[in-house]
Amino acid sequence: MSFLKWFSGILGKENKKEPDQAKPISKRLTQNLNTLKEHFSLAPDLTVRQFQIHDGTQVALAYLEDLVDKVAINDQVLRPIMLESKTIQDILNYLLPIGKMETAQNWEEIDSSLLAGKSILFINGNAHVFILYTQGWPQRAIEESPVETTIKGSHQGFVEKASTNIALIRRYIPNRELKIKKLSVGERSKTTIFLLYMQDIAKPEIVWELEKRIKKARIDAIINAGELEELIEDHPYSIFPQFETSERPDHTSMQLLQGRIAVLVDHSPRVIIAPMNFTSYFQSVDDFSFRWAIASFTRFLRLSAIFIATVFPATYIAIISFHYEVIPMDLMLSIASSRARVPFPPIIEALLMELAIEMLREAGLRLPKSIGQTIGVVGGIVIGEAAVQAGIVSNIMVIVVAVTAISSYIIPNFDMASSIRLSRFPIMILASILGMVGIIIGVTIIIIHLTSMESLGVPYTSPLAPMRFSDWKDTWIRIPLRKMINRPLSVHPTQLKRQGHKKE
Amino acid sequence: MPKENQVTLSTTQFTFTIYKTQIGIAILTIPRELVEISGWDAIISMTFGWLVALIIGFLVIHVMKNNPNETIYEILPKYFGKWIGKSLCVIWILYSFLIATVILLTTVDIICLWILPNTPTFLIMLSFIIPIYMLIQRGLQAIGRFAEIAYLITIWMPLILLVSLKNGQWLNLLPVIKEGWLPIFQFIKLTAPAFLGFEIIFVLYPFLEKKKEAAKGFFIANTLTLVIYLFALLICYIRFSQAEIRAFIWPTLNLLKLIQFPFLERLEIIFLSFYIIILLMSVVPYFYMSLMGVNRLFHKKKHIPLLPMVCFIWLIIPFIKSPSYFDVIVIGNVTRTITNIVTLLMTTILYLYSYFYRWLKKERVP
Amino acid sequence: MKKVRGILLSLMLVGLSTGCGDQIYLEEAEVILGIGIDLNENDQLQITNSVPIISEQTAIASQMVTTSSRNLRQAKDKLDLSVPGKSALGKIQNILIGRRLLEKKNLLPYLDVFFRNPKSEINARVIAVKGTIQEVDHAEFQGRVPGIFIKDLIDKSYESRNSVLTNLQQVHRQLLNPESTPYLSEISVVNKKVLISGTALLNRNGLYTTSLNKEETSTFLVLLEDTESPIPLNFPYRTGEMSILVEEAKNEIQTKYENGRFQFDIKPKLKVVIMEAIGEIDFPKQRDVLEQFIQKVIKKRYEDLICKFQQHQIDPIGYGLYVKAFHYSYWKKIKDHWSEEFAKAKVTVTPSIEISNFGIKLYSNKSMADIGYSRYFHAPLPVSTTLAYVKNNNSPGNDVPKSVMISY
Repeated sequence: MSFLKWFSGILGKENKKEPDQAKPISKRLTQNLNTLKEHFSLAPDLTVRQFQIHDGTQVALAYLEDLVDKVAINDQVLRPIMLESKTIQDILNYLLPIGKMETAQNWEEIDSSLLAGKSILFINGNAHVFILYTQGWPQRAIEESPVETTIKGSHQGFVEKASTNIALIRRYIPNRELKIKKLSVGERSKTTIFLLYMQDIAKPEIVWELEKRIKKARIDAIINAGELEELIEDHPYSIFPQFETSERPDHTSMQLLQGRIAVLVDHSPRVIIAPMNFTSYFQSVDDFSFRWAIASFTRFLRLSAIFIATVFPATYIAIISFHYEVIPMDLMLSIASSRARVPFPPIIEALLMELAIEMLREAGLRLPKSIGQTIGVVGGIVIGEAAVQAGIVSNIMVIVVAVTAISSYIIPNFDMASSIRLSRFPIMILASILGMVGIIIGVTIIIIHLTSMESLGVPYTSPLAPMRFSDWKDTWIRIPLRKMINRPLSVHPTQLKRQGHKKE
Repeated sequence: MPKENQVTLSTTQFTFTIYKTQIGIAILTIPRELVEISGWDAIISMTFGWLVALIIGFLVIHVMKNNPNETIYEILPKYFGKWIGKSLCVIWILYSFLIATVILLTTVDIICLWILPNTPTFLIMLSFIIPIYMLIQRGLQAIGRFAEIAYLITIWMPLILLVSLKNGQWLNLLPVIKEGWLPIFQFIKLTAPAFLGFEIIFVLYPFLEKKKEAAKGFFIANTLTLVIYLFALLICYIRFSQAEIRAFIWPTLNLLKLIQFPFLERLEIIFLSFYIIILLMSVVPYFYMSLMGVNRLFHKKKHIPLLPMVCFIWLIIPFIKSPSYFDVIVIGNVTRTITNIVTLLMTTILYLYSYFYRWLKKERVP
Repeated sequence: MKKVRGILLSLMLVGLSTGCGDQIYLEEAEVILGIGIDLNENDQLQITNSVPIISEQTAIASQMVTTSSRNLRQAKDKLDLSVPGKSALGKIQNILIGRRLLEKKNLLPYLDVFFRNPKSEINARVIAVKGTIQEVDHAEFQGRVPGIFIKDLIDKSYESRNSVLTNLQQVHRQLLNPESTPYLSEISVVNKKVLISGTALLNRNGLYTTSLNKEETSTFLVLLEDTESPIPLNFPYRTGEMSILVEEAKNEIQTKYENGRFQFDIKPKLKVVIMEAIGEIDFPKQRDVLEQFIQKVIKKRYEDLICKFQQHQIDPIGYGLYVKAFHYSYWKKIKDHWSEEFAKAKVTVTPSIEISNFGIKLYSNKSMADIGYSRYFHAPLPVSTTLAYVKNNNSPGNDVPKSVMISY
């Protein structure tokens, strides 16, 4: 016991007495203002405007200076209250042109409202206060997401404000079946989370499951949507993403219409979309605005890109160090002559170049846009050329690495592309130990991992295993939209037929 | 990992699990084993083998239909009483474990010989055990799903054999029924066991979602297997002469050596590497079947404690004695005899006994 | 659970560190591209390996290493003593066999290593050398690796139908099978240059019996129905010359067993294209006459060739297969001495020819001088070449025109 006491003594500062949140609001204005100042002790941005109105009532308006819309405060709140010669009750009832107003009974609500940018109206003699929705903060204009660019799609992207994002989605789906559930996560941040789904399409069990997981999430603060994603996913140790994050309202709307659920996190421009299947990461919004044959061809490119990005360098290693027999003689001789000067075993050569490329990518990402591109080009050419000249790597290796890098960027989803890039390193090492056998073992292990994964209880590899042939129309190829009558089964939609086709 | 009682297999999963269990090493060697009759005769014999397997399989399904929610490990004690039933269970467990081990050893042997002759056997064994371990640990659902993916990944493999048809000699297939029907029937003792793997129904059936489609699924799986075997037989006999096949241990692989593309040669290396997936999918269901039996026998919830132990035993086999071709052949022959006896006897007796058992019950109940 | 996973992973790492003996880096491997097998004067086995020397430059030098040893495997070990890398069998492109070996010993036992070692290439071309391997060794290869040069030579001449192409697996089959006897493409060295000289035929015991010249080889390809690319045939027509391409060949064969001997009715159905006709022919009118003439020519060629086979008691076409397929009960009795039976067999040939087209010219003129023929087409060659072959037709041992062949 004494030890514990001693211990808590050290940590004593942690247990500082919290202000009594449930303390009721006093009827006296001055006492209330004192309490307020006590709560927000070191907060210079707290503004309290105290004045007397026409009928002699003392009122005070409190807000955090930079979180509110000042024009609204001046014109729509202060002006009517100060200038009108009515009772306060009448002013509140008829003359306050503010969209939303609530009354609050306890301090907890007052504090959180203030922190959310609302303003609080204290009236002397009342044991409750009025919360005025006057939020307004510096905000980015709506612009296209730099990560998910599109050629033919819309150029609007989500912003940091969840309500704006909801508006953006509603513009695409003006349908009352679009339901929005409001939750909040984070002990300290109390971040608002919105769950968006089509009530008549999304499977209720999945919505319920997601809601349960969000409620169970325990964290100090949610700064970014990615943190929430990690808290609620099925397999946090997996290298593969199980939810999609998107910054595009059109893509999100499309996914909603397929029966998926969107999770909007306030102050994050990325929206989490769940449940996802492995193959749906290789679809992009543009697929549906291109002609179907072209889109199908692009799909084919992307699917082959998966294989190239995961096993191509490994195959090169396996062939060079184990199975020279599998390549035809002429090619073999030219590869051999290109390898003749290289002093390293193929695995070292490959790791060297692959790591160089990864570093270049990361460097290009962190630098300002204009320099980033230069770094990419200069780094690529200079390192590649010089390395070959110096005889550290072979020409063929440079080609292999370049092809691999290109194919990993074909994959439209950034998270999935990163996972696939990472997965090729273990396979390369396996290939250097066991050749082709190693590659197959590596791929098998990855596949076993993928097949045993689930995203919100939905099988991750869904249209492939369990096989759902009807979903293949939008997996390998993109068949014409007229033929795409059913929503994908993999998401378990409750309403299978797309509505345009229902009437026929 | 979902709990065992929540697992459901779709009909495609059921089908492909059986199919992948059936396709094993036999396809690599069967053209040589049937070389004495060769040609159309071998194909006819194969079809008869398919028929025999089909009949036995339907018997199995029939037995299972009477006990829709029970695996063989519950049925045996129920039918034969505690002691006989349990000892039969033990036989069944040992039987499936033996097959799993034989397939694994043969796989290691083939890979060692064809692709990695100088690599320590232990390393190859280890690299196979890791995926096996992962699959078993993740349970039946994962096995079912993996069977589907394995089918998709390996779907190109029989098709690639077609390329080697060039320069084939179709006359090799003739004459039909050259030595009369007797040898054709005699060779059913070789062709029917090639379809083994459907015993897995004994443990898959209770988990099947739509039990009515079990017969359909099994029929498709068996026929798919037949198609693949016929494919291999036909192409081997067209491309190689009888004397040649007699000399090759694995004629199907020799067939692949002949294929040359402008960008790829020596397909047997690539083919065999992919074939590992298929072979693992034969090991895993048998292994799962035996581990499941142990669980049911001792009323354990999970088969985890035994799994690492067995894996460890397998791992140290190469240290004790690296299996040579002769060992594998000997073990293989012994196993074949055992499998024939066990499956044939077990299913027929079970089938007949199930009638007897119901009759017995009816007698007693009223 | 976690522990087991950890143990497995660490075992994997142990395995990693033990390394593996199978790595053979491409640039360090001494890839044998060609093997020559021959007997020297003392009837000792002599084996020559052609190994490319891999360097940074794209021009690749090569070396030939000749050793005398008891078998091929031993030769490989001896090769390892003289080259700075690990010799590898996996990419052998061609296997040359000296005439002396072919005449004295059965080839089959020497091929064992290629079929026993899973890594070796069984698509290698097997080529008979008229002469010794030493001659090939000393020949000039226009600065290319001998292994590649000979491979390309055989492939190209097979495409232009001047030679057959027999790969290792086919030779293996032909040597093992009682139904047929082997045939190999044959090269010879003239003036330090390697040339295709025709086809070498071996008998049941794998010993050399006879050769086919270029013209016979073309007919042989028709007999084999090997019309992947059309086969050119040349023959005199009346006073002039004619050159045709056989585009499709189908030999319908019916077998009978009568009076203690087999009877083969061969009904070749050929689709031919007229490529060149020298002399006076009006094609639309003379079509039937022309077809009948070609039938006669084909019949003669077929009969000559089959006669030659029967004389030497060989069956390279594989008529034994037909006997096996359709007369199995007889086959079982005679399969060990099928070649002798075939020599006794009666063969009738009744060809039917269809001229599918004759180019874009309706008729040929009286004489080539009239239309200035030689100025029209590729100037001086065709006449002399074909004539050279016709002249050499009946002396199979000595059939290569000395230097005309090269410019051809």
